[in-house]
Amino acid sequence: MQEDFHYYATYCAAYLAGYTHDESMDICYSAQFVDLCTKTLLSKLGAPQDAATTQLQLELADSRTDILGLQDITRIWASFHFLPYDLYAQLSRKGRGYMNRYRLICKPNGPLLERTVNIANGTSLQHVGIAMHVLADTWAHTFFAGTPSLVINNTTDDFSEILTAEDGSVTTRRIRFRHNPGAADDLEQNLYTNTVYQSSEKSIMNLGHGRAGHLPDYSFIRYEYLPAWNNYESIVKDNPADYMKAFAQMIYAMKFLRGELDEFKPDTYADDTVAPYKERINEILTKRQINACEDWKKFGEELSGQTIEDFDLNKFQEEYIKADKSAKKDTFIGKFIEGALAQKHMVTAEIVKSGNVLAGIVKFKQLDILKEAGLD
Amino acid sequence: MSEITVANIRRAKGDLRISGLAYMAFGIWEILKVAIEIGTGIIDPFGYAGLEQYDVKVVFLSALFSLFSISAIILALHFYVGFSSLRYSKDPTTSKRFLNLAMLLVLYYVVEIPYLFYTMFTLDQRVNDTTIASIMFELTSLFILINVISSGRILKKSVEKASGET
Repeated sequence: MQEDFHYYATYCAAYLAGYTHDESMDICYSAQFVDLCTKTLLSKLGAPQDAATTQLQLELADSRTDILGLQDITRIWASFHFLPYDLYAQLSRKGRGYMNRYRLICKPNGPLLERTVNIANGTSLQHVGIAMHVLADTWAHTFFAGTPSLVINNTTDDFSEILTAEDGSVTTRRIRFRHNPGAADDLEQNLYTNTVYQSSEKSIMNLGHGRAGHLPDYSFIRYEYLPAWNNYESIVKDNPADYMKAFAQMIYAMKFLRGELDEFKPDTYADDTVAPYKERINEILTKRQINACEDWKKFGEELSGQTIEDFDLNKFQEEYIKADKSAKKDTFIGKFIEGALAQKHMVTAEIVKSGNVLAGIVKFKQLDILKEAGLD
Repeated sequence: MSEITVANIRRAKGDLRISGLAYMAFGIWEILKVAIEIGTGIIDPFGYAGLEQYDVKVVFLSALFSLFSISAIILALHFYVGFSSLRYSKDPTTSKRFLNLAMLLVLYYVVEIPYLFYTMFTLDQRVNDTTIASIMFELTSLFILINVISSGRILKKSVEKASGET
């Protein structure tokens, strides 16, 4: 997902869940910050680089492709953007190497989602924002894995957009790809950018949904494609429906995190809360545009009657830099870092526990932190 | 049409396409190999024609012509099977005659590969790197042809099944 959903839609969901305007701003800022908190930025702030929640293209281009580099990449992307669905999935006649990658495929409503929301319970608003980012991405990034893998993340070039006319008839239109990251996607010509095919299994080009370009991040599009892992069977992605579910589930999760509900159950949605606004939200989701920020912002401001500031990456940096060492953890970014570390260590520990080496090994000290918090 | 049938058709088409391209590439390599061997003196055209080296140029050229004619036939066989695989993978209603030729070629390799082993261990009395490479090359060609035949049959059956389902 992109800024329109992680920032503005998350604000709307937080407000509908009962948070105040200021609380919703903190939550949505944190949710969007997950897509920008890189090692480069943390290094600039003097913050622990282990708390990185994403990687710049330049960082990826520069990263090691040995086992340690791959584990570092997997830890970040699997923890925050491609939460694994079933770490104990079984397939017949597949080797261990393949299964390690297959088990990192992201889908919504897995056991790790429940843990993600639960470890955010009783913590900071920043941690809530991180959890909402992870939750939302489980819907958008379904069927891709947060590790470089040709055999999982590769696709054929056979992408078709599914279009429904006003009279209800369904047609398909071929999607064409080009490898020009500098050019914007052309919705009229159905021309999109994706990563170049790389036959190397662990190439960075095979990380996440690169081979599908930005299609998973556009809320309006329904499409059919052939993923490498699905034995030549095609997948249909209905982004408007998935995004609506993501929105409703975020509200439900945040009601739990506010204390309004006793527990968080997967595959449960705040449909009652969404119902009065469903048509309006559907209009935003299905509008054919690259960026829906303006529409979500307008909706959010109508809901709360307050102005939603545009996202400013520099907003909380000075606070963190100027704070004393002992006071840093109480700053906005300090709380975000705590939440990010907890999320990353939880997911990594779960992956390691399943016998999968792709995310590396959790350090003993970090395991102690999780034990103390009752999160092991 | 069930999703499994569609998946089988996709798989068979993909296998045919790749095998067809591979078989054509192997054909090109066969010709290149002969040209390199003549150019570097490994093959003596006169020896193939059973001629002495002092015979006239015309005879030398005839020998060369014979050698390249045979090579051209080999290349044509590779390309016929390869192109037909590609064509059949795009349109399963086209002719399947190439599968019969592929089966004949399989028989050829089945005879040739043991003969190569025989030449290596019996005639030469020593393990020869070039012969080992040739054996591996021929084994791969055999595998490709088996894949072409197998994928061609699967595609034919899947398409028939799909017609029955619709």
